[in-house]
Amino acid sequence: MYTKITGGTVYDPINNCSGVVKDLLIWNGKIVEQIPQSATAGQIIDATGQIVMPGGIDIHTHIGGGKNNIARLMLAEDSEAHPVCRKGELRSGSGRIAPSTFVTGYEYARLGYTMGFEPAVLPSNARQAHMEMADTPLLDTGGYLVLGNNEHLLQMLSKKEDSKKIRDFVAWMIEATQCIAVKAVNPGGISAFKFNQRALDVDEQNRHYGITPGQIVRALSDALTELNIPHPLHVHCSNLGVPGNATSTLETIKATDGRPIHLAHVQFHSYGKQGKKKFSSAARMIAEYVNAHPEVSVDVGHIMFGQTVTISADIMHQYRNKKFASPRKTAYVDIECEEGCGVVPFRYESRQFANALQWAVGLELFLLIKNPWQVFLTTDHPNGASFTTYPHLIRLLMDRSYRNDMLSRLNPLAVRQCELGELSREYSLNDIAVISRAGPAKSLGLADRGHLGPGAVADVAVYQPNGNWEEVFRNASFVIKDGEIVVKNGEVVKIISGKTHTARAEYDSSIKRSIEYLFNNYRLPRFSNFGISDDEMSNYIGSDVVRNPCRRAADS
Amino acid sequence: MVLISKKNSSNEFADVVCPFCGLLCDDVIVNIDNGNLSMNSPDCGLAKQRFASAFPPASYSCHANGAKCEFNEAIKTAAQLLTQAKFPVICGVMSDVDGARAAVEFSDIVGAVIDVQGNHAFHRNSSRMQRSGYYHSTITEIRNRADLIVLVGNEFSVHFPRLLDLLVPDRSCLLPDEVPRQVVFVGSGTPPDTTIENNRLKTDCIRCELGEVTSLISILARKLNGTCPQVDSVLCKNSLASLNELAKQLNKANYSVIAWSAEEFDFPLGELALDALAELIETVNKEKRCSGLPLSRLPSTVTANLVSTWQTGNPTPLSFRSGAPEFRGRHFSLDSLVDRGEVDLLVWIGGLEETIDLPDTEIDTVVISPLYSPASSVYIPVGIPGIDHRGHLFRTDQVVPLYLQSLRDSSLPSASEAVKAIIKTLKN
Repeated sequence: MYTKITGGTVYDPINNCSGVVKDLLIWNGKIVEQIPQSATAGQIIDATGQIVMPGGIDIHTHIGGGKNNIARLMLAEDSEAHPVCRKGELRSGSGRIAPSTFVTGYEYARLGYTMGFEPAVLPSNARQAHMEMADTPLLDTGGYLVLGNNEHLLQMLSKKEDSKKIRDFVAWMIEATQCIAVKAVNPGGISAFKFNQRALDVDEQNRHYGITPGQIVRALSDALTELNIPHPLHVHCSNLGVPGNATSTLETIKATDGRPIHLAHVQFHSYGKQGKKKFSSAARMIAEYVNAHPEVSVDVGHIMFGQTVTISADIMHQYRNKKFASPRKTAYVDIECEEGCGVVPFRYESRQFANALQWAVGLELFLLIKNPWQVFLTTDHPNGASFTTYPHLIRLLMDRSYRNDMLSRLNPLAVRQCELGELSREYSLNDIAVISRAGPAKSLGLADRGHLGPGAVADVAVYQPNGNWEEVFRNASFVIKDGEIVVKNGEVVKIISGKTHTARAEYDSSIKRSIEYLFNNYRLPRFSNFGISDDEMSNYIGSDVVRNPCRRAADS
Repeated sequence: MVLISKKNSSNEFADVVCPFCGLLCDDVIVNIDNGNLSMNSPDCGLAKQRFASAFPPASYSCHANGAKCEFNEAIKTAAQLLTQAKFPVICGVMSDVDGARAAVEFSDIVGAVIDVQGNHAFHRNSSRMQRSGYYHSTITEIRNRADLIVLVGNEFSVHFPRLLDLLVPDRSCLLPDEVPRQVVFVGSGTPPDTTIENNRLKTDCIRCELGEVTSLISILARKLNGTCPQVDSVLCKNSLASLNELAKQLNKANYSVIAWSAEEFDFPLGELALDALAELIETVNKEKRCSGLPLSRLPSTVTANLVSTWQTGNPTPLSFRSGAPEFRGRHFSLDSLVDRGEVDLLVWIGGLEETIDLPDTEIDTVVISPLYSPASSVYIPVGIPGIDHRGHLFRTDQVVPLYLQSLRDSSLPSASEAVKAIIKTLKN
């Protein structure tokens, strides 16, 4: 059956289409130029006067893995306060701060999102991350392998092993964990914390290994560049949340020596230490650097006021934040000589100076970074806020008077200290399509996603404009996933399963011998039980694998 | 990538994951002869006995209402019983991830209560965690890093025979600063055996009844944080000396770990012992590094509760009677519901059980299990995860899922497949 979306105003930045009224044709799950003559039955969606975009792609959202489940288990109050009943084919569930998997899938679909990427897959916990994502319907997913504190990698760097060996180790780990990219979280810092080193600056040595976060970032960045993994090293910088951390954020970028780098939730890493409270916005400093360096991209990790829960592999800083936990309970795990996990519930208050400033910093970053292809729309769900606040965030970006009205209600000292009120920029619909669709697809190397050209997978969102952008993006009027209508008028009408997107790089397979030795002598499980095959993904984890080609944007 | 079951010969499988305790050791070698299993190594009495008693599944067939029947007939009868039931309870769930997924979906669809075997212990840990959180570590981390391990409990040697072999490396460890491991047993049981040489492992015991653990550990925490130095007077001389020594060791260790099995804290106010252990870990962490390791005898308990948590936001016991998952502590536990006479149908979903642990009642039962259950209203035989079919279980540290092998040809469905067949019938 074919589908024809007629009369919509299309925003498709990858194909240089901004606000053009045209029809979209869908056949066999793909966007096509013409419906084959053999297709007899079809459906027409009249999108006259409506906005048509590719399905949303969340480049950084914590939707799978152990830390999410710890948050769910710990926050029984979230579940109790927000039950979701079973309805037809839709499963029951609960939670807004740390929603259950089915609820997550349904809520993303209502917003017009069709892909979400878990940015912190721990090697030994990769199976769980993929299981949870497989149980998140209506979303294609993928994971970023966290490697910046793997003790074996740090040992190799400490011993100054050949970079080829590091490259092959990285490639094997990506393959074995069915991931699409690599992330470094507080590189070297999580390991340092296990050795009881309670802080680690970007140029400071991990006392045990004698190497710095900068060296780790450089080595991983080199490896990914050589492997042609499309998405650059995804970095959660050192010093998360620490006043004055903007300096170390820039030092982290510089450590790559001009190689592409992506900074995760950069809002949390863009702080100065000026002013009476020794805490200030350094958004301009970060934005100007990004503006001058096209090889750098960021996702913002904007915060919203209210209750949330912060979940991170960065156990060093999550332990530091223990005193801010609200309600007063925290969970920490040291994990498998690989990484860590810290879960700290948190409430952002608009009248509180630091939180108000964080809110302003996020928006300043969005508005001061000139090229929308370098900045992506995220709240670092759930760390800054739930992904369900995206419509509100979009309104803040598109509507200056509304933004300034919100700003005027915040802590007055924070308002005086930031420059947000003076920024007149308003995002266009095309900009929104870039930061939430086209940009993430391009950065991740997803050739057939994030656009509506012929050959693209038919993931499409249709929105009814009404003058209030928050309402517009709250409930898509239609969402099409893999060519099938899954949402009508903000209601999920059909359940389909997503797939898992991966990248596979070529590597010298002789590396497996040393990895096998490592696993069978020091680690559990053993080598033969560690890697995840495509068959296991499809038949037991529950999600089919899509292999994306390994080539950097410059090659494509 | 080599990811299939590793076969040494036509009859011998290597690197087999043992699904019979929470440690999920995966260095097991199993021999198969006409479907009969024998474990060649390593030396673990518990696993040897469980593999040997995992009899070939050929002899059992489905039955319904006292007579043998085909699979489809049993499924249909089970679906009828569920349709008629006003208060069904899904219990056991002694299966793998897919079995747990099916059990939760099943409960959601029929509006049942779901409770998991071994849940009292899981609940003891999770309710403490919901009050104030935790600080945990995992097996590989401990194996390579911990220089002091404190085991609080009596039955490690019974329920986790290879615990020390996993937590203490027999050769070198990944992190180069090697020091002899110190293990301190707190309790009155027999310490688990170990193959670790004496020069790599030093052991010590603090003999006490588990009922005393709460006060001993609380005193230890207060000694370490200096909040209550006068508590010395309430201890006997031997206990005082032992505690002082342990306090010194905790202060000296670079990375200490305290392990317990909450199942053993089954005495009045046993939860307070967990509070005391958590307080101790938190205290040590202020200056040094220290973590906990909760041990779970049944991997299916951890597995089912993690699945339930990601699918619904809650661990079990859980009621779907209102249409949404409702968690009310132990209110919906199987024992409580049967005691209150609220249940009219029990559905046991199994796979890894040694016995079918259903309450002694006249209530109709549907049993989905590898073990024969002649008294049930409907019986559907299924395979054993990790032996008759592949699947996943979570290790006791609740972080690492392992992929189980299929060791023999079995015509039996998995528990997940049987439950899905009932769901399909109900939907039609």
